[in-house]
Amino acid sequence: MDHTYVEEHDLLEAYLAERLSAEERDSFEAHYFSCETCLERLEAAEGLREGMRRVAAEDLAQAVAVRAQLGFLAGLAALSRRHRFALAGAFLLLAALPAGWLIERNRRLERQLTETAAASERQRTALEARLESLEETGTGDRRRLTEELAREREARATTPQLTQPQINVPLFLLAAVRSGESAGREPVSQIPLSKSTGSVILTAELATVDYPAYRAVLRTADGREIWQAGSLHPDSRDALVLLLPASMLEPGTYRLTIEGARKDGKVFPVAAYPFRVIEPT
Amino acid sequence: MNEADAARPSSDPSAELVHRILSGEPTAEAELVQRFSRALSFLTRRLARDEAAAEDLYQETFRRVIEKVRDGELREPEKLPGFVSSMARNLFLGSIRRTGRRQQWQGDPEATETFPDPAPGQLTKLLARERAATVRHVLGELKNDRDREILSRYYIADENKDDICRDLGLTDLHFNRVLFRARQRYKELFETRREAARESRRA
Repeated sequence: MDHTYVEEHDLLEAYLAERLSAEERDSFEAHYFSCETCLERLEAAEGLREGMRRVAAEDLAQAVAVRAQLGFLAGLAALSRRHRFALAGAFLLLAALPAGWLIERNRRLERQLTETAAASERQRTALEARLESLEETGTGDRRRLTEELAREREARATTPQLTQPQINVPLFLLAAVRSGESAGREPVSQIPLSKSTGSVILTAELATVDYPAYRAVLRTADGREIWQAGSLHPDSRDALVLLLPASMLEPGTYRLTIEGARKDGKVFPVAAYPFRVIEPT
Repeated sequence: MNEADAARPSSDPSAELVHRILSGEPTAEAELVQRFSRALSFLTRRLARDEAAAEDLYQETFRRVIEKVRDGELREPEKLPGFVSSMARNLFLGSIRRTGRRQQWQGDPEATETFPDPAPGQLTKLLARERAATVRHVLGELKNDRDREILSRYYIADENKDDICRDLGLTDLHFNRVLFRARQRYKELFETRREAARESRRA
């Protein structure tokens, strides 16, 4: 069982809800014992599930307590005046007893507050010192970024840019395949591109949006990488929309692979979109 | 597994670890515990429910796994993760069979351990209260009532995902998104609270 299979079959939630067969459950347990991503998600989902149940239980207990309180007030209203005064006196006595304790507690809390304020002041001073050192480092970074920007501008000047609006740019929705499914098969997505086509738009819809960023890699049938980009974010329909120059896509079979990138830099395969570029008939 | 096998290098990290244990490398067993500690802790808490019982199951699982690996009883070293998880489950099921009482781990019958109290301990209660507070925070941040309803029906009423989607006219994708966001937010809040607790302990 690999990570892609777990995601595609939504095994995580099914496992927590105990809806997996014994065989699937054992395989998934073996998987998350060596997959940190799945384990992290399981911990978060289980915590949420248990917390939801606890919240529901607390709300129920509170509702029962309110009902009991209403019953008590109704009983109080039925008492005679003398009894009501006696009961009120008892309540006042009960309220006065913890007052001394509360005053002492208040003093203790004030002391803690003063100590915390002093600690915050120390922390602020340390942070200011750190900020100063970071500013010094920042000067070097700024110089490097300026150089990079100059190089970027130079590269852009030598690359032909789109200056005119383009009409009827071909748009294709790519079909995803499961891992291992596409080997040796003809891709479902067929893209007719004539030599006169300037650009082509490819849309890859993601089944789930589980990563902070994504990486797209376009390869030929023999595995040669012809384009790749990182730090991609899906649009509001959870799709990645790519505008590619048609000259990049000679007739043949291609595979667009989308990988999810975690904050720690690790990447995991999310989906693959094989397609064939053909000459229009 | 024989000694020749033990000496053979392997590219699989689990198999490599098993070979190192068989070769008598002193740090290898500690590494095994470190590698599977979090996952085993999660599984044992799920199985035993009570913190103390889960802790006993956790200890016993590692004891048995290390014993069996040392004796060369793990025939497919690359399946070490599955071996550890199934060992925990088997020990738990064995305990249930012996006692006939679910959710109470009683440890190794040969060991002379004291049996844990089946009632939830103070730590379990405290953790549950903290979890509830975090979830209240998450619920407070949900944008609309429908999202809250999704979570309640799914996590509290244990309703089927397809049924909820059909009733509320939702796509599978929207459902997953609500669950994902709630889980992410929960994780962030949980981490923040844990970090704050660590800080206060240090202070």
